[in-house]
Amino acid sequence: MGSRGWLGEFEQLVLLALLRLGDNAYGMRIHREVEERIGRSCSLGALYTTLDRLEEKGFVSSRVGEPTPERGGRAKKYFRVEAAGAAALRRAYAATTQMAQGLEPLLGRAQ
Amino acid sequence: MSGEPEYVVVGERVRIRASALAGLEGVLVRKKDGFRVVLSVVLGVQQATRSVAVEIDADDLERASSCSQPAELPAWTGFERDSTCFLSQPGNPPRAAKLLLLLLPTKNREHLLGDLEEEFRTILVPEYGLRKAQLWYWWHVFISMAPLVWAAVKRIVAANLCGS
Repeated sequence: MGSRGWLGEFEQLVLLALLRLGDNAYGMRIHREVEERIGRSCSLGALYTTLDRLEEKGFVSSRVGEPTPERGGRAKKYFRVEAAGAAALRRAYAATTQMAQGLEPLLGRAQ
Repeated sequence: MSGEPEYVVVGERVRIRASALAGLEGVLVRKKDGFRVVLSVVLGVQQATRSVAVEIDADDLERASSCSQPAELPAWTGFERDSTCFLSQPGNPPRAAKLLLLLLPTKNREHLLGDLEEEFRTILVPEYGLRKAQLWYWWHVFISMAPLVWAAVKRIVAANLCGS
């Protein structure tokens, strides 16, 4: 498997946020979800470049939604996880779990 | 939120269903430790009306499917209600920062501008006030530029390499 099949840490976080948000996954909501849930600050610029990269790999797809007044009349861009993205996420999760096996005393319990 | 009985997301309109504040509606602005959440609600009458942050137990919350509050607030209250029933204080993102973003590559620029503006209006201004919200906006414009410009440069280089 080439390196394009593996996910970086931030890519994993973004895909997990998309799965959590379901049909409501667009830039601002994804940004808030990552910040609120794990306390990691990220820029919207970094988020969009990551989403572009995931879309080029076929891991996510996007559609343009409706414009709203609080967005200054600009449209939302919704993202959803595709089958290839879900499979890549499963692979990454399995790899992390296997690598961490037996290291629980060292790592402690994740909060 | 104990088991998150009803999954509500930040920015969504919600109603307090228990405690002394039962019946109040607002917008979910932050989830704290999984059990407590912060809402932005409008309290008061006439000239004393203010948008305030309220921290409550997540279990005391439910999704507000529609707006049950009065359709319009008088102009003197200083609040606006948009088509989704959200109440916000008027205030605009800094114009110079928005102009700076127009220098960015066109892909996703409009969506990013919309996201910044939505977060500014619906979350930052009600929770932190206009001045801090504007500082936040400037900061996010600056930290957003580097990855977007870098991605555009990589695309141009890759296109030239493929073309040569």
